[in-house]
Amino acid sequence: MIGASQLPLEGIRVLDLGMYFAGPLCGALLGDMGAEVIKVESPRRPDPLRLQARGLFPDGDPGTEPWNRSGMINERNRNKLGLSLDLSVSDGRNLFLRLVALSDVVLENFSTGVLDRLGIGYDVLAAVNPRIILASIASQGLTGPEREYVSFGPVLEEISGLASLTGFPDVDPLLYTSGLAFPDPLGGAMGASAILSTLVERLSTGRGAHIDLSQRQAASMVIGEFFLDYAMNSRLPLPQGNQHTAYVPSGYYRCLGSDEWVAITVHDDGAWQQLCAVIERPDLAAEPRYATAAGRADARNIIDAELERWTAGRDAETVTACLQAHGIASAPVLTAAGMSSHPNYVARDYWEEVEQLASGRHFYRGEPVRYDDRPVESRLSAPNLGQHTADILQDLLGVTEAELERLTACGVIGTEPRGAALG
Amino acid sequence: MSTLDADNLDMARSPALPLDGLTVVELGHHVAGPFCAKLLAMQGARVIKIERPGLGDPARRLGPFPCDVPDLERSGLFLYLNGGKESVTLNLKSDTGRQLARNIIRHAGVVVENFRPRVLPTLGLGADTLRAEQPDLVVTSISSFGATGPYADYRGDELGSMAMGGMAHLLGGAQTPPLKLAGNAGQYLAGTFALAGTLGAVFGSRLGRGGRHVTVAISDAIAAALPQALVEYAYTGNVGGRRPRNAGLYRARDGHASMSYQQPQWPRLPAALGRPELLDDDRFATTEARLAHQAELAEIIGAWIAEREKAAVYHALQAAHFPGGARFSVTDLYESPQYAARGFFVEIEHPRAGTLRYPGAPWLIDGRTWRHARAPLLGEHTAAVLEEMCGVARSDLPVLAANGAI
Repeated sequence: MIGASQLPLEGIRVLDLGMYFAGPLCGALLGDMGAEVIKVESPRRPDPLRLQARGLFPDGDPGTEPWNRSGMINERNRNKLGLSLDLSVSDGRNLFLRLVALSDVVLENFSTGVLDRLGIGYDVLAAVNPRIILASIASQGLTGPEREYVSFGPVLEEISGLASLTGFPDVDPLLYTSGLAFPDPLGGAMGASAILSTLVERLSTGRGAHIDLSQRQAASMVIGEFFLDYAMNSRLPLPQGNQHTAYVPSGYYRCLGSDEWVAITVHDDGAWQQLCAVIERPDLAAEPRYATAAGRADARNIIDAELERWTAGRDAETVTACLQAHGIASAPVLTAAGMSSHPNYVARDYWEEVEQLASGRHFYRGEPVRYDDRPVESRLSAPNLGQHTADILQDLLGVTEAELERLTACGVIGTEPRGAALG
Repeated sequence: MSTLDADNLDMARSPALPLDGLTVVELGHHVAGPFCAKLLAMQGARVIKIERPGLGDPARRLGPFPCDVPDLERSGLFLYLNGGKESVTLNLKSDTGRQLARNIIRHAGVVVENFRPRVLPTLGLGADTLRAEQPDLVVTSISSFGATGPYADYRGDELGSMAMGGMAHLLGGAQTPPLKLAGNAGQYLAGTFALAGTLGAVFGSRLGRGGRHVTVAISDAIAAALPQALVEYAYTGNVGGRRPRNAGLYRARDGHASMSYQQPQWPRLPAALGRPELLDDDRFATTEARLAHQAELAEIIGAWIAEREKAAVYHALQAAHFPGGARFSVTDLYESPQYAARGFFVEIEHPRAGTLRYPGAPWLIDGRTWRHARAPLLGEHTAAVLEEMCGVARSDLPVLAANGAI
C-alpha cells in the first residue's frame, strides 16, 4: 500500500519526561506510531523505577548496573532514545530548551508545580517554540484545590470511584485486591490521544497548546453509567463481583487443576438453553423459574453451583472451546505463564523477543494498537540511562566533544545515577 | 495534504474544537466502539452512528434505567456513551441498507466499529474493501480477542477479556475466585487505546501517508494495563497470584482509606501520622527493615486511620505530600470540591431522559470547553443524513422503510 511503510508519526519529535507508568506508556505509544521519542532523565533523579532496591531484574540479578536492568523500565520504554540531562541546573535547562525548539511534544507526569519550579513551564516552552505541545498527565489536573495532591495508580483507583465498584459484595474488602493501577495505563492512553488530537489541530492552526489531563477524571469516566444510575435513581451503586445485572449466570468458575478458572457468560435465554444442553442438564432447561434472566438471578447461587459442578472436572480451555462452539461466551482465566504460550497470543505474534543492552534477550508484551494488523515492532529497545546522550547533543545541538566532557564532569549528563541511592 | 482536508467545510461550529471538520461513521455497539467515537465527537468530530432499525445499539436495552423500567431512549449506559452523535437506522442485512451505509462512509474520514471481525467483511464493508476505494480512510476495529487468531470469532465480553488479558487472575483474594474490574472498565480502556490509534492514523492520513486499518483487541489492552506480571514472568519465571489482602487499604470510621507509595515517599509518612519519631526507629530505617516489620507498620497506620473519617485521612496525608486516598463512591464524587472546581460534571438535557449530570472530559486544552451534547433518539437523523449524503428525498423514505432498509 502506498505510503503505508511510513509510520504516521515519523518526523515528530517527543521529549518524554515521564516516570513510573502513565507518562512512559504515553511516550511508548507515540514511539510505536513512529515518533522519535527521547526519554529525558536527570542523572541525579532518573525515572524512580530505575532505583528500586527490590526491583524486577533478569533472573533476580541486579548486576552491576541495576538501573539499566529494571523490567518495569524496559517493558514501557521501548522505541525511545535515552538522554540524561539535569534540568535543575542552568546548563541542563538551557540544553533542554534548545531541544524544545527542535521538538513537537513535551510530555510529563511530575507532581503538579514541578515543571514551573524547574523553570520549564508552558510559558517558557512556548516562548522558545510556539508550536510546542506540552502534555501534563497529572493526577488531578493543573487546577482545583487538590491539584498538588500526589498519587500513584492504586490511590487514583480509590479516589476516582473505580475501587468502590470493584469487588465482592459479601467479602471484606481488606481480604482481596481490587485494582492494579488501572488509571495509569488509562492515563497514558488518554495522554497519547490528547497529544494526537492536538497534533491534528496544529496542522491547521500552527499553534501548540498545553494539555491539562486529570488521571482521576479519566478513571471516573470508565464508570460513567454508575454515575448516571445515581443521577437517575438516587441510589448508591454497589460492587457486583463478577455478576452482571442482565446476563445470568455469569462469573469465573473453578476448573480442573489448582487455581484454574473459566469465564462464562449467558447473554440471553437462548444461550441458557444451549448451556443446559451442553452440560446435559435437561432438568435445568425445563425449570420454568430459570427461563428468564430475572428468574435465574433469584436462583443465582444454585445455578452457579450446578454450573461449577460441571466445570470443576474439566480444564478451562476445553470448557471454552465447548461453550464457544455453541455460541456461549467463555474464556480461560490466564496467568502470565498461560498467556505466554496461549495460541491466541502466539498466533497473532503478540510476544516480541527484544535484546536490551544491559538486560539481555527477553519476550515483551505486544502493543494493543496495531496498524493493518501488523504487530508493533521495537525499532529500539528500552534505552539505558542516558544511552544516546552524546549522539543527541552532538547531532541535534552541535555540542562539541570538549563540552560533553565538561558536562559529564559537572554531572549535568551521565550514564550512572549520581548521588541517588537505591530506595 | 490528503483529501481529508476537503472535509474542512463545516467550520460553523464555535468555538473551534480540535477535530472540527472530521466526519466519523460509527458501526459500534455496547461500550468500546461507542466510547472511542464519543471522545471523537466531544472533540468536535461529526459522528454518524448507524444503528439497527427498531432495536438500535444493544446498550439501549442495558440499564441503568430510571426506576429500572427498560426504555430504548432512557438507558444510562447508552445516553452516556453516545452524547453528541447523530443516529441513522439502517438494516445492513439488506442490499439497499448496505448501499446507503457505503454512501455515508464515502463522506467520512474515519470508521469506528466493534463487530466481531468477520461481520463487516461478510457484509462487503470490510476495511480492505472500504480502503480500496478510499485509501485515506481510517478504519478502526475493536474486538474482544483480536482480528485474527483462533479466538477471532469467539463471543467475547468483559469477563472473558479480563480473563484472557491476565487481569482477573491477579484481582480478588486468596479465598475468592478471580475478579474483574468494575463494570466495563476493560472495554473503556480498549476504546481509549483505539482512540489513540485512530488519531495517530488520522494525523498520518492528513500528512498524505494514507489511511490505516487500526485494530485493537480488548484482551491486549487489558494485558497492557498489568503493571508488572508479564515482564516479571519473562524475567524471572515467577507467576504472581492473588494476594491474601489488599496491601494499601485500611478501615476508616466511615469506610475505607488507602495509601500507595514508593520508597522515596516514605520519609513523609511519619510526620503525616503525627509520629516523627518513627523516622529514627530502627525497625523502619531501611526498605528492607520496613519490609521485615511491615505488619507492625500496618498496625500503626491502621490505628491512626481507624479513628478518622476517610476524607480526613485523604486530606491529612496529602497535606503532608504523601500519596494517600479514600475509597470514594459516585455519591462522594458528585460532591467533590476538586471535580466542582474543574467543572468535571456537565448537565445535559435529553427529551426523554430529562436533565442529568454526566461525567465530562478527561483533559482540558488551554482551558477550552468540549462539546457536551445529548445522545440521539433512535433514527433521529436518518432522514437528514440520507438526504444530505445519499441524495435520498424525504418522500422516498416510506418506500425504504417498507423494504426494511431503514
